[in-house]
Order: sequence, then C-alpha cells, then structure tokens
Amino acid sequence: MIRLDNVSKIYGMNNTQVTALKNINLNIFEGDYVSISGTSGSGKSTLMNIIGCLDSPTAGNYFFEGVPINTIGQSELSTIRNKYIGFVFQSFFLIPGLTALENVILPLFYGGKGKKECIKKAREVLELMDLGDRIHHDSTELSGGQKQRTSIARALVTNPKILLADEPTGNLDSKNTREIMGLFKDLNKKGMTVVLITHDERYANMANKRYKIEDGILQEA
Amino acid sequence: MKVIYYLKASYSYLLKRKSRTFLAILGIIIGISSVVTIIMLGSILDSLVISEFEKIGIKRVYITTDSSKELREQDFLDMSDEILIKKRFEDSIIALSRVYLQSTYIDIKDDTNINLMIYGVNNNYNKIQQIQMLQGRYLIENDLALKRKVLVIDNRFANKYFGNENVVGETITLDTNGIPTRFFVIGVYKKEDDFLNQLVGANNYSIAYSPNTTLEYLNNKDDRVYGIDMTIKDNVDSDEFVKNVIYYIESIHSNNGEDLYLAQNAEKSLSVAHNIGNMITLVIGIIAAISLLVGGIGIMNIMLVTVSERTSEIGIRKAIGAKNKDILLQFLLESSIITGIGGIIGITIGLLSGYMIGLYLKVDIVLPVVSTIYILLFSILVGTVFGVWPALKATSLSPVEALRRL
Ligand SMILES: Nc1ncnc2c1ncn2[C@@H]1O[C@H](COP(=O)(O)OP(=O)(O)OP(=O)(O)O)[C@@H](O)[C@H]1O
Ligand SMILES: [Mg+2]
Repeated sequence: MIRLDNVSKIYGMNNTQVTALKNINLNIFEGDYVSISGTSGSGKSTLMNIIGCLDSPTAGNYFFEGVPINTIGQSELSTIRNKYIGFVFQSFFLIPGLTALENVILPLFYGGKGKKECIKKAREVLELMDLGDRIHHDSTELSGGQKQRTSIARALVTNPKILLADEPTGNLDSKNTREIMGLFKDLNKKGMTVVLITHDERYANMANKRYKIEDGILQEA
Repeated sequence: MKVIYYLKASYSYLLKRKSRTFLAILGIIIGISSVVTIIMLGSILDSLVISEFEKIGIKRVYITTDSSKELREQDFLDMSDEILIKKRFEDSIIALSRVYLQSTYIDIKDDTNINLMIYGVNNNYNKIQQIQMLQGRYLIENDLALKRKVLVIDNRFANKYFGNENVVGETITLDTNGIPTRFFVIGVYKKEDDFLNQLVGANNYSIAYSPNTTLEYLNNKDDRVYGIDMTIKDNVDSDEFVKNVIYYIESIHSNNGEDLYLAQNAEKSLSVAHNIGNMITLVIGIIAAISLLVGGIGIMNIMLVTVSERTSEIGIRKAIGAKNKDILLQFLLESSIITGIGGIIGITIGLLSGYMIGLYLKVDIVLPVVSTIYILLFSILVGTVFGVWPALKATSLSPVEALRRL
C-alpha cells in the first residue's frame, strides 16, 4: 500500500542544512498497525508528513497505492489526502468558529459530497465517538479529549484507507489516552491501516510492526 | 449552500474582531455612501433646476436691446415691433407681451420697506409666466384698453402691507413720474418658494403686475419698449426661433449683423445648467471613486492580516483535502462579502441622506434603484479584486508549512 524507497529529507539552505530523514525504506501493507517512536527531533513528524502526502521527499521515491507521488500535482495530492488518508494531530487542529459537526463535515464537503450525506455521515461518526451531545458545540468549547475524538471523527468520516496519527495523545491525560489507544486497536481489528507516532513505549507495543527512528534513520524495533 | 460552508469560519472570525472588521469596511462605507448621495444629489439638483425653469416656462424667450452697446434712436425696440413680431411669428408664438418695468420701494409699518417690481404687461402675460391667482382676477383686455390703474400683487406682499390676503379692492399709492397715484388691487397671486433665488439671496423683492398701457401713460413715455417676452409652442425649436426673430428685428431696424439685441432663451439656459450639473456630478463621482479605491486597499490590508492569522486553518483545510481553488474561493468570497456588507451599509446611509436632503428641499425623490444595484455589484467587485492578492497568498502556502506555524 505504501512504499518508501531510499527516501531522504533535507531541510534548509546550503549552510544550515538539517537532514531530517536518511535513506528510509519502509513498506506498509493494508491492515498493518505500524508504530514509529523516537526522541524529539528525530524526524518522526517529517516522516509522517511525507507518508501523508503533505510534504515531498528531497530524494528517493514514495509510492502510494503504487502511484509515484513525486509525479503528481497539488490538486491530485489534495484528492488523495481527502479520499485515502485520515490525519490525527497532537494539537487536534480543529477549525475554530466551526462546530464539531461542521469540522467533521469539512472533508466530505471538500470531497464534493452533498449536504444531506455530509450531515448524516458526520453525525454517525460523531455518535460513534460518543460525541452525540456535543455536535453543535463550537470546537473551542470542547475538552481536550472531546477535541481529539472530534478530530478522529473528522479523520474517519471519509472512510480512509490509512489513519496517520502524530502523537495523538500527547496533550491528553492517561484516561483519554487509554480510550483512544483502545479505539485505534479496534479500528485496526476492523481492517483499518494505522500509523501511530508515539513517545510511549507501552502503546508502541500494541502495533504489529514497530519502528524506531533516530537522527533520521529508521530501524525496526 | 457551498458558500455557507466556506464562510462559516470567516463569519465567526470576523465577529470576534468586530472593531477591526468595522474599521476595515469603514472606507467602503464612506466611499459607497458618498457615491449614492452624490447620485441622488445630482437628480435632486436636476429636478430643482427643471422645476425652476418650469415656473419661468421652458419654451420662453425674452428679447431686449443690449444696453452695453452704443444704441442709436432707430435701434430701440418699440411698440410696432411687438405688433410686427406677433404677426410675423403667429404660428410659433402662444403668447407675447411687451414689458415695462418700474421698481419702487414701498414703506410698510415697522420702518422697513419692500422693493416692489411692477411689471407692465398685457392680459396674455399669464400665459407666459405662471401666475396662480388666489384672490380676485388677473388683468383683462379692458384694463389695458382703458389704462386702468390696477395691480395684481402677490400674497406675501399683501400680508406684509395689509396684514392679510383678502385685499381685492384695497388701494396702494405708487409714485409714477413723481406724482402719487392710487392703484386698486384687483387680484392676489401665489408667491412661489423660489429655491434658486433664495440661494442667491434675491428673494426679498415682490413682483406686481399692472397694464403696460397704464404705466407707459402715467410715466409719460414715448413708444420705446424695454423688452418683449413670449412663450412659443412646444414643437418650435427655440434656438432657431431666436435666430429668426432677431434677424427679423434687425431687418426692421436696418442694423443687421450689429448684434444689438439680446435673447434669453430658457431652454438653452436649462441645458447649460444641466451640463454644469453633470460636470459637477462627474467630478465628485471621481473623488468618491478614489475613496473607494482607498477603501479597497484597506480591505486588502485586513485580508492579508486575516490570511496570516489563519495560516493554520488554511493548513488544516489543505491537509483534509481542500484544493487551491477551494482556498482561493473561500478568501475571495470572504473579502467580497465584507465589501458587499460595506456596500449595503453605505447604500443605506447614502439613500437616507439623499432622501433627507430631498425632504429639506421639498423635491420629489426617485430612488436610484438601478444604479444602486450596480453600486452594490461594484462594491462586491472591489472586495473581489482587492482580495485576489491575499487569497493567492493563502493558496500558495504549502500544507506542512501552514500547519507548522501554529
Ligand atoms: N521546516 C523545517 N526547516 C528546517 N528544519 C526542520 C523543519 N522541520 C523540521 N526540521 C528539523 O528536522 C528535524 C526533525 O523534525 P521533526 O519535526 O520531524 O521531529 P519529531 O521527531 O517530530 O520531533 P518531536 O517529537 O519534537 O515532534 C528536527 O531537527 C527539526 O529541527
Ligand atoms: Mg513531531
């Protein structure tokens, strides 16, 4: 499903170069639960951005479902992200001024779905996330756990092939963390491919494939 | 429907920054409201000018000798000219009267006086000048034939001099040729509020009408005539008519081409006034357009701030599938709606102030519906045009970059 061939990422200009990723080779198959851990600044987010088609490698090749990503344009990248990838970020990244429901509708909206379908699906997923009574709250009025569940609902609403989570529980307490990790496990059991970036060894161990990244070098753990 | 999705976040963002948003659209409001006011002012001025001219009569021509020229005895207009013109241009003229003018000061009680202009005219003069009778009657043929010492005065003068308007049969003593002569009031007409005259402060005199035969006789005058006033038919070209009449008069007096006669042509003056009005409207309109431009720059400024403050929002939208055109559309819509709202507020203010000015000047106002729609569209266009650069800036952000800037 996902293949990275010798992918490298170098940031910056000539004299202040930072090599964030070094010759990374990685295969992710459908149904995998992959965890990536590493110290701060080791290149985890950089890797996730590349997997999520938010950023492009400076060297090497990246294939998403067999499609060489460096050959396609901005607009198609948006479509790929919209259709196949669900993002969950450490700091939730909900849009202020929109309600929980409106935030969750957004990917469907950009996917060109009709209004009725948008509302119906978004509602379903939010109820699944146990947020049925919060759907009309502004995203700024939600607790941290509720925010993260809303953002997971937003990631799941389009039925993506892969869920990319960059330290999704970094801002949450242990109870919320446990809940969300349980949720990811369930999703994976139902067939969802999950890539989890985490500091936490315990949750990294839930994955069926574990990787460590150090100074931009990826190793199986 | 899509629009609402695009704008929901903008709306709450703008609401949270009410004062800033308001300041940003203030320029648009000022620009648009002044454009609308100017348009209404233009039409108000137009109808004022037209109504003034209608009082005088648009198809009116007044001919006099040019007193700035050196005139010989033979050049002066006389009574036979009146008769000849009337005959020669019978088909074009509705009414015609030679005019004798006498100006006197009449004392009224509290040691002030009124300048009374007495127009010596004939019984047809009320077909040349609008004279709306309130009491009694206007001059008749017999008044002229018998050289009756009679006056038609206006109601304001009647009120000042007699204390009321019911004054038919009362007398006024006037000095004619040094001799006090009693005149009978036979009628009272309505004095019109004369806006243009008020503007130039020339409204402190009254006009009375008396038979020209009477005044000429009492003043012991030869048959010289001050001027000939006339109304011509609607289908007659007034420019052409004036040329022909002057040529005819010159032929009678054998002074062709010496340019000794003046013609006041109301229709021509009206079109000149109209052109001047249009010019003023145009100039002020350009100034207003410049203020709109400045307003547009204000909008561009706030949109740039908006884009940089909402970088992460843009990043999120892109990450979850928004294309560049979606982002572009969102911010263009946002700036267009801001200026559209500014436009609506400005139009409302403009219409209200125009309406108020119209009320004050007692002019019937026609709401400029069509131009209002154009102006609204234009204000939306200002937002679109000045939103392009900020919106392009928003789309040019790469999603990672936008997300990192939180
Ligand atoms: N835009 C950028 N320009 C320059 N250097 C960058 C940029 N983004 C990241 N880096 C550098 O690349 C390296 C990897 O960063 P990355 O964000 O991937 O780390 P991380 O593993 O996600 O860290 P954390 O656990 O703190 O989130 C770091 O040294 C960082 O300073
Ligand atoms: Mg990171």
